[in-house]
Amino acid sequence: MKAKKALSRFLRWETMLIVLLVVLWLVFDAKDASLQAARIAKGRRATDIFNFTNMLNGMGPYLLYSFMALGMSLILGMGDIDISVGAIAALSASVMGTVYGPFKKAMSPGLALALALLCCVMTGAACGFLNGFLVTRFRELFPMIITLGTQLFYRGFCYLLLGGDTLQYKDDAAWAGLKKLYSGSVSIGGLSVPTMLIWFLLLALMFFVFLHLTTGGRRLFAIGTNRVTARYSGIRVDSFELCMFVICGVTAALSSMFYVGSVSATVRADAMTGYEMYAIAVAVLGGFSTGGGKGNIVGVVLSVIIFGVMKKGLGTVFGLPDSTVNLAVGLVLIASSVLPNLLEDLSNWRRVRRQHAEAKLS
Amino acid sequence: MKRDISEKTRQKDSFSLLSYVIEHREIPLLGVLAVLLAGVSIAVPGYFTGNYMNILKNCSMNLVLASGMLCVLLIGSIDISVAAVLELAAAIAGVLMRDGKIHTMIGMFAVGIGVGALIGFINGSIMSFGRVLPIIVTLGMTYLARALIPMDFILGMNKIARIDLTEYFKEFILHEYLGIPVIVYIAGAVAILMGLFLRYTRVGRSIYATGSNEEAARMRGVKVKWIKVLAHVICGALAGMAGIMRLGYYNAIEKGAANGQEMYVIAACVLGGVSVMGGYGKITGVVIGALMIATIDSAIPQLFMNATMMKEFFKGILILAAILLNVLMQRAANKRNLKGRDI
Amino acid sequence: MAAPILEMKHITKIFPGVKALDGVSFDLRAGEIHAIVGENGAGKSTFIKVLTGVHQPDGGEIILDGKPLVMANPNIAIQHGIAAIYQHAASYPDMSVAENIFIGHEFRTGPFISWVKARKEAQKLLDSIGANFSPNASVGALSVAQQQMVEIAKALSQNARILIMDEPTAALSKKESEELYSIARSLRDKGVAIILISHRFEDIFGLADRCTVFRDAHYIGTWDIDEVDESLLVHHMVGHVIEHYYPERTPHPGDEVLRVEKLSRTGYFRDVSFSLRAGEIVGLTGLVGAGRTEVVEALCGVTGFDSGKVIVEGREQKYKDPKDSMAGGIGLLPEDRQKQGLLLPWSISKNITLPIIDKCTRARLFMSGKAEKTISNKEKEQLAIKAPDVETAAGTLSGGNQQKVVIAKQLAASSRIIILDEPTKGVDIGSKAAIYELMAELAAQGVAILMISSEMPEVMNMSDRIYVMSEGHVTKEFTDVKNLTQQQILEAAMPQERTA
Repeated sequence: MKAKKALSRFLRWETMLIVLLVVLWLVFDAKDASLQAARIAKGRRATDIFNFTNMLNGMGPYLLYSFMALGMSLILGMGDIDISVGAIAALSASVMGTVYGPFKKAMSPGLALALALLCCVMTGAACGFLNGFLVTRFRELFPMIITLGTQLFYRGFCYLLLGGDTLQYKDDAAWAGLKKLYSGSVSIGGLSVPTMLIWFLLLALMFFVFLHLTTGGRRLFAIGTNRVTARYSGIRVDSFELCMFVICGVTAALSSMFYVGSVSATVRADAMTGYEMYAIAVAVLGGFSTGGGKGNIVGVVLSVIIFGVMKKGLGTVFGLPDSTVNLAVGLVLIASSVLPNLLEDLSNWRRVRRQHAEAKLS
Repeated sequence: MKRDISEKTRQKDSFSLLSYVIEHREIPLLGVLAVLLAGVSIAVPGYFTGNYMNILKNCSMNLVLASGMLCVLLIGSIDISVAAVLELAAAIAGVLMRDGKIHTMIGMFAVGIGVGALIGFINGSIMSFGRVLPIIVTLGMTYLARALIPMDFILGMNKIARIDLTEYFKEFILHEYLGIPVIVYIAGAVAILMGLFLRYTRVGRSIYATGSNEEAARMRGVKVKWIKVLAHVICGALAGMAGIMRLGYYNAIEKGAANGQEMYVIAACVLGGVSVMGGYGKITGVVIGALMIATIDSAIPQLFMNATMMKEFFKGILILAAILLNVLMQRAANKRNLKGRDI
Repeated sequence: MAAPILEMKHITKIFPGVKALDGVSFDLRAGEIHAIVGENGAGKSTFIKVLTGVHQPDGGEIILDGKPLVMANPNIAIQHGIAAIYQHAASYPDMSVAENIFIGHEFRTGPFISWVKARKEAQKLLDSIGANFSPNASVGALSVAQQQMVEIAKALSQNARILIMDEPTAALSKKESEELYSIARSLRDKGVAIILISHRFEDIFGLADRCTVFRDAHYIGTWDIDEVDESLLVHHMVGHVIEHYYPERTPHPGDEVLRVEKLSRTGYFRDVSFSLRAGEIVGLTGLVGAGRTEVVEALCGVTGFDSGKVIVEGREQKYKDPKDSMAGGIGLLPEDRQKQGLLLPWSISKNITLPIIDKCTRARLFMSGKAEKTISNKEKEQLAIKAPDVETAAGTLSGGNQQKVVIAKQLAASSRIIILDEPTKGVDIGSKAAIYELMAELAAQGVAILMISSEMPEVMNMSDRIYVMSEGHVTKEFTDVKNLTQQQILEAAMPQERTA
């Protein structure tokens, strides 16, 4: 009974996300339509800025933090948090940019780039390992404080590598190939779909299978529900948690690869500041509570789309400045964590009232 | 029979000794600070004599922030929005002074503290009544506050600079009485008042009780939810106050100016022996922790030849290492206590 | 007969999904000790929380000194002289003894608290109850019994007219219990009304004047203590007669499967040795805090040990993680089933299969709901877990059925050695009998069982051999359980016995 209820609540959260998406879409579409009507009234040509094709094409920039959000979902599912993902991404990119130059002198550009990409992923994994190691060895301090500390350290490392310089690879042929691989688009059924979306959906599918169909996912949610019980039930909590932090670090490195490859082809020490916030916000809106033990990757994919639509809509359709969009992100983060609790309070209150009524009858 | 009595008295002695060490966990910290200062002084001749006032000045703002953070950590919560709140409060007060709406020092502090307290109230209320984890609320608040600063009705695309502030304000914070700048007096007063508040008032005790055993506190009649809100209001208010201090010190503020400050604040508390699980922590420890951070901060450029890029790196490493070392020391102390248990 | 100073009429309290109290009535006279008994979940704790203002009742009224009183918050109860000593030591571990005693009613000069006076008064209170620790000691560093003394001093410091004692002797030695009895009696003689909640019949018959029974959130009745005896009380508590409480069994001990030699962990226990044979039930008893749980946690790899040997089925083992000891065939039923044994929001089936998820898979990787269901349905049937189906959330079950689910986890993992830490704590009498039956059955199948328990009758009736621990040492082994008296075990468990 209760399990079914939990299941239905689960479905309800995802349904709510779909409803939210539809509402946002309709609002932006209506605003867009009225804008065009105004343009036509002024005798200018209508330019439809908010529609499905546009949204799909322009999804790229909103997908950067989505890779991190997948990794963050694992961490949140265990009841931990990782504030350092933005800094990990910056450090991975810095390492990649720094090693590429010397590599290129020694070998062919393609091989050099492949090795640089490998270094990038390894850096992410190493940072994740350090986080996981400290988190599991220093339980007194909580993941929050530890990753807040390692974040400073990783960011400092970036400055040590790059100083205040900006590495640019705009004219490099190998990087152009990378850019094509990451930020190009493929035509599927007449629609041009960004390759990054396909990469993301593939990765999301892998995470979905891992979290919801395998024993690993069961272990992860067991740890998030009650770490002590999980350990007494024969789960090696420490090493499992460590692995998840490594995976989270790798997703941060993947984000940085796409960031460098697709968006700018430049590497700076202060790149991707604040991405951790987006990653956490996307995962929380997707249904992963910071308390741990619950969440669904489907929700995360939906919430990635919602964030994309929201940013695009607020930015281009309503023409609001970037800070307003950040404001909205902060509000969504807080609201999406308050809302389930308030709903639960409400249902409890109604339940007690119903019991009262029953008690009075009898 | 005789042995029974001696057994009893021995037990009593060991308990009072144990309790003394436990009650004064800060004493070893003072030793660490002294060693740190001595080490740097030896490495850099003339460091201490030329720098002690700088150390005090540097640690003032951090100490005010850390006093607030202490309240929040004591109830088992955390606030990582302090740096953003500091910026927002300073920006609002700065704009009001620029536009000629405030001229007085008290007005500036009132606005700063008011803004901070309001945000603290919002933080605390969402946690207490919406049952959201502190990390999420304050992380969200960090972004909200930083998103508000560039809004047109606050700073817009501008910064607050020297010319926006009155001469009196610029001069006041660093004005010296008896050779000590005002900013240090303010920090000292905040620390002393906080110490008195936490130790000698009933509300202060309720903060400890809530953090130590929330369920017991509730059964004992403590309004736990409101105590949590109050702790966050205090923390926010002090963050706002630190914002005004910062404005007076640097005479400038912009979005992101205090980025990363929250880590140094939390580090000061953790180094000062405050438990992040709540229930234990003293203002004396926080003062020592803040002094340690300021010492590290001022020593790095002297030790590593003022390479700014290096500075951030080493600061991060040193603080992380200090926090971890502190935990290891605590564990060693616990182990010694266990050995003394006589089993 | 004196008029009651406190009357509680038709108190009802509803939590989401549960009726914790259903029209319960109660009255209390000045200068009496009134015991409330009932099984776990009968509503005793909720009742106390309503009386102390922690919970607000959904119906009924509280009448104090003939006047109705709305107990809106705990402060009102405190102002009216109602003080409580709670079951789980409700102290603040980070604070000193004096701070704990006077929290909420500190001595003040102006707005400031006077700690000097607090310390002096705390010393007086501690002396008056024969406590031998300093008011400056940190409560977290005290033993469980000493923490209970702090709670008593705290209640005394409030000059209460009505004193509630919720399982006050659970962690106390016999001597300390006697001391507590004499304090309670002297308070009663001074006119204080005392509500005593206890499941120890010695407490009830040695101390109480009257006795009230609750069952399933209902009021059953109130009797003078001379009117009832133990079996009658049990009958009222359970609602039906229980026969063959402890199963008849003839032990056939086989080979030695577990041997522990001179196991030590600094600060927790030292030189602990015992052994366990297949098909044997061995009791490990002692007072709460004697180090029993710490020993089994160390040997199962939850914490680890500093020196000594653990020999399992002839091979020396040093488990680093519970996973290792499970693989070695040892199942541990932890002490706190809600915090260590179960994932409360999860279904029975997911809980049972958690230790063996690798076996419930297709292609060794993907979870197979079908395999899970088969295994958990089998266990549910075998243990007679009362639930609509295996998809029911573990958190909604009664204490006894929750405990059965935790036991099912060990059985599913097909353990050859099962360690049960307080298997019947907070379990209703019906489930208790079922758990005993199961233990006997397992032992007959050749499983070795180590049972940690504080309940003397249980230890004496179920065990083939008994080890007693006190202050981190094994003080005694009893092999002739048939001719053992409770007094002998208690003597071995008393801390004083070792030094004298």
